[in-house]
Amino acid sequence: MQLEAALKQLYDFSEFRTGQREIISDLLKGHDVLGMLPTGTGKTLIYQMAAHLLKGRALVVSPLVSLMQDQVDQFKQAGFKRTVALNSFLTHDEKQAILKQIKDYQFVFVSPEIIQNPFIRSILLSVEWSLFVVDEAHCISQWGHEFRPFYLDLAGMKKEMGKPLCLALTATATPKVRTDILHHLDMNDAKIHVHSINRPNISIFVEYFEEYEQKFERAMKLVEKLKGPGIIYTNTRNAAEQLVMLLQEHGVNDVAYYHGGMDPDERLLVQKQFLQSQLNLIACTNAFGMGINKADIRFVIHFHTPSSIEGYIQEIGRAGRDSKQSVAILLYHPADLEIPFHFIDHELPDAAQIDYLFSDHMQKDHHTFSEKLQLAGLSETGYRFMEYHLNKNGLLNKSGISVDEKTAFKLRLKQKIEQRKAEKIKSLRMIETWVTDIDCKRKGLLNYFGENEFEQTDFCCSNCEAEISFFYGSHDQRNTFYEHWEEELKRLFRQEVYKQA
Amino acid sequence: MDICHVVILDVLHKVNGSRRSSGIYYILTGKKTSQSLSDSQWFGVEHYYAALKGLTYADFTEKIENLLNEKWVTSIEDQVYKVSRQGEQVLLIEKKKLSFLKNLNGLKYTSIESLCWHVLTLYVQALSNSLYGNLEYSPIVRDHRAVQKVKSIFPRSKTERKEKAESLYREMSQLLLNLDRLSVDVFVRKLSGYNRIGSTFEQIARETDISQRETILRFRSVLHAIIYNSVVKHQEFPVFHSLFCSFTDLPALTKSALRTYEMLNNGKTLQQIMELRNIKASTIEDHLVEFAREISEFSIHPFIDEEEIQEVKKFYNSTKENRLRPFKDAFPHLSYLQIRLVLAKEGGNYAAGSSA
Repeated sequence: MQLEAALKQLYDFSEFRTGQREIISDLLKGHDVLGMLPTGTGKTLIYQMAAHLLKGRALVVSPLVSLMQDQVDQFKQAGFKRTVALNSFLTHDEKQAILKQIKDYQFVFVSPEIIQNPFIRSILLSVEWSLFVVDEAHCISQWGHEFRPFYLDLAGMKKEMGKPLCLALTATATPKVRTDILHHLDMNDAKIHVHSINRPNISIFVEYFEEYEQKFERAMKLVEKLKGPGIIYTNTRNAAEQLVMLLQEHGVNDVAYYHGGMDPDERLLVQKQFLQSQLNLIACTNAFGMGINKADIRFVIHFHTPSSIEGYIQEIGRAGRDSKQSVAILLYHPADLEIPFHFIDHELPDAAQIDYLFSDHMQKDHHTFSEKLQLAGLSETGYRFMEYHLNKNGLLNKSGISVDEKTAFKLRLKQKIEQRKAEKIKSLRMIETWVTDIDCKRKGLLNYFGENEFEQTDFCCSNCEAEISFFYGSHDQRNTFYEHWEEELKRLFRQEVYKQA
Repeated sequence: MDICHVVILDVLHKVNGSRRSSGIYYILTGKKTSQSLSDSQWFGVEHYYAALKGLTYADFTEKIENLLNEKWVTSIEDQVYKVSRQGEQVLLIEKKKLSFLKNLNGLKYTSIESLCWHVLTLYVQALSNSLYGNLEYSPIVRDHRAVQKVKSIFPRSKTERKEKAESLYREMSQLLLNLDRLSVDVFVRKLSGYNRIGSTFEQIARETDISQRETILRFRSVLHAIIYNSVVKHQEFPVFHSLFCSFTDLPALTKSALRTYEMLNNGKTLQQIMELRNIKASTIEDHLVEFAREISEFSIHPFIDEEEIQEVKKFYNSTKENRLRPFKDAFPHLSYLQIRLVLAKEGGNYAAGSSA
């Protein structure tokens, strides 16, 4: 009961959500934990409370810088003020300032890449940690949909930290990926808490289109009819902008797009407007969402088919966090997956790029791989991939590597790349199959994660005859009309009220 | 008419064929080179420095093409343009409609405007929410320095907060009432506070039916006016002053020049600085020119005699010459550095009149 009291005191909640209590309790007993919890069930609460009750410091590894920022905001808002994120967005001076006061922080968010920096790592290691949290832990597995090579080194970090309690969290890991997580994080005696990925309050619809252009019409109609707020996911920035323009032309004004190419200040405004319900709809690429904690999202539309089932689950999981009935609608056109298929070929280095990296003139110029990597024209993922493997084999900054050594390494790399590509292609085929399957959509998703049984839900999915009109309705317009600047200034500074008082 | 055309036309007019269009592009997009910095002052277009931040060179040349097609400018040699009689008339009319442009202060504030804005908008958001008793708002600014600044000056007690709100409200209304309505409207829409998150430039452009470029320029013109008044009339605007003073007090130097300035103040000689920082003499010279331009206390007398300063000034006044070459021809015994120092020091007064 002690945990419930703490929950009440810290958050003013009277009940834990699925899995939270058991995981915290295991951590407090001194066990490492691998937790798989459905999207939107408050994973952060687990390590907030655990660190608080352990009266210690937590290092949290998180894959996305944008996600980290949102998490820091949310921690501060929840009253955990001593929270900070260390990432590549900070200036040198800002980093220095944070590192100088590292002792004063309770939660430090880091990317797996930044802790490779020897200076930062040494400072982090100079203080004591009670909890090592690996968020989105599926990134550790090359079978996971978002493989990040530097996640593979986290076990080393854990060891150097003196093996604090380790908590690995994910919402989307197949059994194979879960085994990988345990293995790579060196969590031999971990308690494992796996919960169903099923979100019974989200109905799942898939609609088929023969003409791509029809999707625009359909999306417009859905936005007009569905009760908001909602999100539309697209594959490209362009499509997100295009949708918003179309909607605005049709007089729908409380919509905005959000993607990685925007000015950061403006993007943050859009995000906060949506959280405040000033906007009813966001059209975005998958850059939006991970850290978004908005409870009342009623619909998620996928304008394109996402490139993996895991990604799809993550994205529809933003709906209905308040447990109210919500809907996910995927608009499928056979050409949807062309972009992701194409992308697979470009994500990791191709044969020409590898050949360039290992080419011989390198030795004449005394270039190291590190210098050459910059010139190879790799994608961000490709760069990270190469950097990781070269570094791991001690080749990154070495010059004068023998031809034999290079040839052997090159061969191994090519194999790794082929494996990863095959995995990605398989994952695309899986979602393609799921989209076109005539069986229950929910069942298909659950099977993918190794779940074979689930309770029948009302409004299950488009193949179980659920009716989309159930989700129609008008949304509550928040009164944020702006009339005249003088009035607005008065309101902002609450001037009239004072005069009356 | 696209606002870019007006701005480009105005700068072409003031430069009057003394620079290639690429030089003008660098001024307008705020390139941080000694050349662009001193040119912008030299030709009296410092307020336009960085006015078209982010404009691509391709877009810029397209705008020039448009001006040529309208016959508002004529090409006098490759990449060099002069404004035609017709262009001058158009410019006169358009500038009257865009009176806010004179409030821009690009050269002075480009390096600090974003930080100043972050501090102001975060301060207003925090204050507004606290006035309504809402402690759980989510900050719209992440800039670490701005957050620290707001934290350090945020009023602690309820009474203090009410007082500050009243003062800031008064300062803001007073200042905004003297500016043009549309720009003020843009600016206030950008502010966030209790129950409302500020609008993006794109949203404001749509709501007010002006181009996004113009929206941004109008916004910046108000912001610059606020920063300017917080310095010049700091007694009238104590709250604004408290928000910005730690940034406006610093001379607006490039980072590298600031290093040099600090080392100079710490008693290092120019020779030592060159060796310690491993920089070339020409770089140090650029820095000195920056100091002459930006720092009023910086004396150029160690580098050139008063008599010679007067000679150069006199020559400038009689010839209205804007290029360095003629100066060098007239004063062969002076170095380019000496001439540049005089012009940078006096630039504000003289160059401003050069377009007349």
